[in-house]
Amino acid sequence: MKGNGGIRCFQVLLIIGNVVIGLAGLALTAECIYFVSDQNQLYPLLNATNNVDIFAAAWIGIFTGFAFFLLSILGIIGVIKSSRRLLMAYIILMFIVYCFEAASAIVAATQRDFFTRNLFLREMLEYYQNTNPSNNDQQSKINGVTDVWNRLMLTKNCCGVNGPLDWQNYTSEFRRTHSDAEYPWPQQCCVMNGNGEPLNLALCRLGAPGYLKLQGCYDEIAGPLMRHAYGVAWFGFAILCFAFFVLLATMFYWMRIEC
Amino acid sequence: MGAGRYLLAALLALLHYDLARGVAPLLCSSTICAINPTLNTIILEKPYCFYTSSSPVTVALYVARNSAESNKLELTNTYYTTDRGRSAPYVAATFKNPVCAGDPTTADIGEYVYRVGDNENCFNLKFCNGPLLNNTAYRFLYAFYDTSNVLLYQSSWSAPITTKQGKNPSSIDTWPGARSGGMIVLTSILSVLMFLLLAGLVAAVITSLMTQTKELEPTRHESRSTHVPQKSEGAAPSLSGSERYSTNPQP
Repeated sequence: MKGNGGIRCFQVLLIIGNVVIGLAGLALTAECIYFVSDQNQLYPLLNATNNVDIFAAAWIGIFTGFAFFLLSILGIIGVIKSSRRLLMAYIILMFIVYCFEAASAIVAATQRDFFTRNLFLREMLEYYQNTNPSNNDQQSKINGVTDVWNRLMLTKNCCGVNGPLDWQNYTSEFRRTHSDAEYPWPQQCCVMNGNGEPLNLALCRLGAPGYLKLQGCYDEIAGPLMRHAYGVAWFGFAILCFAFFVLLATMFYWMRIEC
Repeated sequence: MGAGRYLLAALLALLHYDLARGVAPLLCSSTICAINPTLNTIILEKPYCFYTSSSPVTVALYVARNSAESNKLELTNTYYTTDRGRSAPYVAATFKNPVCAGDPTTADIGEYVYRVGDNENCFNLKFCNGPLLNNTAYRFLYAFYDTSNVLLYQSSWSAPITTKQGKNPSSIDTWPGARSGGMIVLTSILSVLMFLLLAGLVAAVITSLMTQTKELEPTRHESRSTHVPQKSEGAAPSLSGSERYSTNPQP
């Protein structure tokens, strides 16, 4: 470097950049932990459709976020000491973590597209209260999906994916074991009183507004998943864009350390 | 011919009873019954103000498939004897003629409508209101009888109403189809950035190797002149060590 002031200025910029990367990495870890902890307990729905890659993306996000934090410390030390070896290790490790995080962001962005109404609709029809599992694995998936749906319909005031008509427009495992006369839709679709009993079962069967929940659950399912996956994808993307410039600058600095 | 006969009967009824109207059973309004018909049931409005009389009157609801072989009304026909309405209309239920007094409120929806196909277990009942068939057209008729089962009046047959047919869930296509723009942008930008980083890494290593081999001597001098003075005396071995570090990448 020519002037000492120029070096100092560049060093300070790199250190600030690394501090930002480290803190953003911690935030990414926190966000991914939140996603993985699955506050809305929707994992069984994704598990039954073999669409759990988004959770893989979040797990990778936890790792890369924390790795960014640790590596930024390494980078700061390397910049302060102007050590070529430390900085080389920093750059290479950063590049590896960069690749992981890019994979995580891309998977999260891609998986978001898969959360269609039809995905959850078909799964609900084929798994909800299925009494005819082909193996133990399917049995556990059926139990998971049934529990989630019962909870969703009871607590979120919704019925089916698009509404109670889902149980009428399609044949289903539920329909195979429950007659249309008694259960045009699951009893969880009825508006409940304080004791968790239907307000009026007969009127619920008639589909009278006020006694039957007419709106679908899709927003309750896809809403949280989409929002969180959005964060995993785009927050990761933002960190990567920033880290790109810091890494380029670090390479430049590394080339000039001893020249 | 049959329609003409019913029209005649209706006219006769009109002649005899001023308050009777020539009407047919109606589907329950969609504001009250949001999902109607279903797979095996059809919800009808009860015959409000179809026929008014001061003496007690019983209403019989006749149900027949659209393709029924006969339209003859028999109070003794049941769900089972007519093969679920295939051979002739059957009596699904009898109830008291509802009182014609203004518009019924939504509070008594259950009184206001009748759900055909509601009863699954009616082995011992006189009239069975058993489930209807999927995807089958049905017609309905209200007939009014006095206490000695004499037909006083009958409405006209309703238009055919078809029950629902459930589609197979395996016909649902779960593939998302088109990709979202955000996903494409994110993927392509990240791919480019990764490529640029890799290129930068390689370029940095190569250029630094080349410059080091070229400017090996001045580099060493400079680094020595900046670091050495403080520890020129005491730390000869460490000095040679740092010297080795700086020349390390040379081969």
